[in-house]
Amino acid sequence: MTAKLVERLLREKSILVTAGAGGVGKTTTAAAIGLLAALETRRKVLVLTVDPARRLADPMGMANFGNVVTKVDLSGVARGKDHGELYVAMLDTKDSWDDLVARYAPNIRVRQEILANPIYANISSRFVQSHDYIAMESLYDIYNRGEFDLIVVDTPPSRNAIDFLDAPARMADFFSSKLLRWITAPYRSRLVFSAFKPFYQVADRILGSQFLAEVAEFFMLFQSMYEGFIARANSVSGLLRSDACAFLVVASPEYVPMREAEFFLGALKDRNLNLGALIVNRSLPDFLSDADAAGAARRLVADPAKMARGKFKNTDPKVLASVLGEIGHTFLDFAGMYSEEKSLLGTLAIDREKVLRAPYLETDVADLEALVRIGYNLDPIDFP
Amino acid sequence: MSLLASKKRNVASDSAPRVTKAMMASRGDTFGALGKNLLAKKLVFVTGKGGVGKSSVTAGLARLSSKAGLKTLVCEVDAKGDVSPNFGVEGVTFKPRNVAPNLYIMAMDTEEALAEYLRLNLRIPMITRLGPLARAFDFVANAAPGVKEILVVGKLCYEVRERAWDIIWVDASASGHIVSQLASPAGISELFKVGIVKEQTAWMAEILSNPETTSLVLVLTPEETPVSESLELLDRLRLETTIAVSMCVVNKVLGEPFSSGEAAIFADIDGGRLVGDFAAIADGGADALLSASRFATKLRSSRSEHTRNFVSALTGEVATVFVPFFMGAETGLKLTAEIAEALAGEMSGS
Repeated sequence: MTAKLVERLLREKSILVTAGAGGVGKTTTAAAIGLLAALETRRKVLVLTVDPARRLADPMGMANFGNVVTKVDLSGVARGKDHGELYVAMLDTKDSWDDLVARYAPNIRVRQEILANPIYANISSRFVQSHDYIAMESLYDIYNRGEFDLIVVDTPPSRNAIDFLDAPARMADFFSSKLLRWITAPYRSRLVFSAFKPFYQVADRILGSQFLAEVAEFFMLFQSMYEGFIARANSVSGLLRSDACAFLVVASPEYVPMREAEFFLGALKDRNLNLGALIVNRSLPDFLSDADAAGAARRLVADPAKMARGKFKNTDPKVLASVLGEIGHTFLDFAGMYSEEKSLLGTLAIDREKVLRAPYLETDVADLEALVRIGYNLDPIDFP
Repeated sequence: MSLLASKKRNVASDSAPRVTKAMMASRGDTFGALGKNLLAKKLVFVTGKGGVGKSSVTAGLARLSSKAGLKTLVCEVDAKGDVSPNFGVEGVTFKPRNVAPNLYIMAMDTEEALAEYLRLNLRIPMITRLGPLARAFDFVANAAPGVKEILVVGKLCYEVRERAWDIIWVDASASGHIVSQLASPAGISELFKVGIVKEQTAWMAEILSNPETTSLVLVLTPEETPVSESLELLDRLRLETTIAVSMCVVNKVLGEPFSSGEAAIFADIDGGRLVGDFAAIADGGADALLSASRFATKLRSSRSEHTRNFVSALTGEVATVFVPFFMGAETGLKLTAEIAEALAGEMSGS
């Protein structure tokens, strides 16, 4: 059964963006949600990742997939019922930047000059924040083409999880910045150059004039695309704020990831972005809260030999005692972790209706079956 | 692989962990060749994918070196404050803070690193003059990859060159980013044709590629993605950087629950001929007890398999050590002490 909150998100939203710290299972969660949407609704779903680690391929059961949209075969998990379609795609940041330049460059000469500029080559292939921007930009593009009913976006691993939220705005700032004029000034006019001379002397000594010249050239070329860029960045921001879009914050139930999730929830609020759900991934199973089991486990640990004595037929009492002790210890260890998870959840400042948990799978998420298991076990949390 | 085979309980003990006198006495013999070798370095980058316990392992290593009498600095690069709870304190700043005897922690801040650099090299003392320059620099740094990285690496190398510390442990950036950081002197050198930055890269590159001075510790957990990403990272480090990798730490290792004789009895209890007998002593808790054991068994066997895969896929001479999963001690001083003790044991070869 699918929780009401999940059901609503899958049916009503057009864009779901997963976000969270590294290592919490963001990519897996995005894949599981996308798969669930394709199985539970008749929508055409795209799971989009910009993660350079290409991790989405693993759980999708594919060796790899490139910068093209690939259809996922659902026949193994659909069990004959009516369902939608699932596609996956991975963005190649470099190609997407080149597309962008092709779109906004005023003419072929400028386009070629930009593509040949060494600073551009660096920015488009390595600039970490450019992944953030290009992810949002491509999302906008795909959304507007209208080929999919729901797009689930797995965000890039940011050094700071909120970077990508601000990427469109920052990109707009970037191109309208006064500093941009500073940098390009000496290459435009000698008069301005003398005014900024002290700055240039220092910058020159640190960076070297050739580097500065390349930077300046890059920005002058890019300025010719300025208007198209700004308009676009503003539209992208607008889309992220609209009701069509909701954010899924993913965390694992550990101290640091939870604090980071909390920070992220605040960042969404500050920016008027919609929180779809907080998904607490890798949550331990509820049987660990069983009080009878805990009592029995304590007795098993305290005196396993006594518990074993005379109560089990035809069994080596020594080995049996060791097994019973292990059963007890194991339960208490995991129950301890479970209760820490619960108390950590109790400290979260969030609308509890919006908290979901995803199960801790004891094996790897290596196939669609595992993703199905996660998707169908996205449940509300019982708060103490 | 001793730890994998052992049935040692991987639980944080209640008693305060002891660091023995012998451990403190010399940084030599008690740590064995591996430990001795590692503690003789000046600069060690500790990296790994998010969530593997990189900060805890860094803290454990720093505890060992400081207890061995080495003046130790821990530098957190992605300042999220992950490292401070491991030393029982809150907040870290660019200025090193003393948290225990011989032990200091700091957080990298590229702006402050730049200010410090300019102060030392260009004699620009006034922060007012730095204002617009810093903003311009930030702008260029954002546009030109490698500039921020070089500031991080530059500050660390500077500390090494100034010999202010016996050893610096860097709680480094997560897997992907570390390569660009370590490769930044070379990258910068290509991008910049002249200027101070270019001149500065040569001595940094020298420090980074000297295996006597500098090395890297890779932390991972025995799970599929961390294992495959770690193997990829080792390849990239080999191809794109000059750094020596001295050790891999497999963190959060679970011991095997049952020997084969025990597993047979467990099977009898779990759905076999002893079901009723077990239910009788478990007072209604039998299902949950057995579910927990089944869960743990699957988890452990999956983790053991990934550990084996990792070890067998390792090429070259990289030492691998194992740190148990300390359940219930997620962060804080206690976990740091537990990890330090486990690392010391593993590095001594016992």
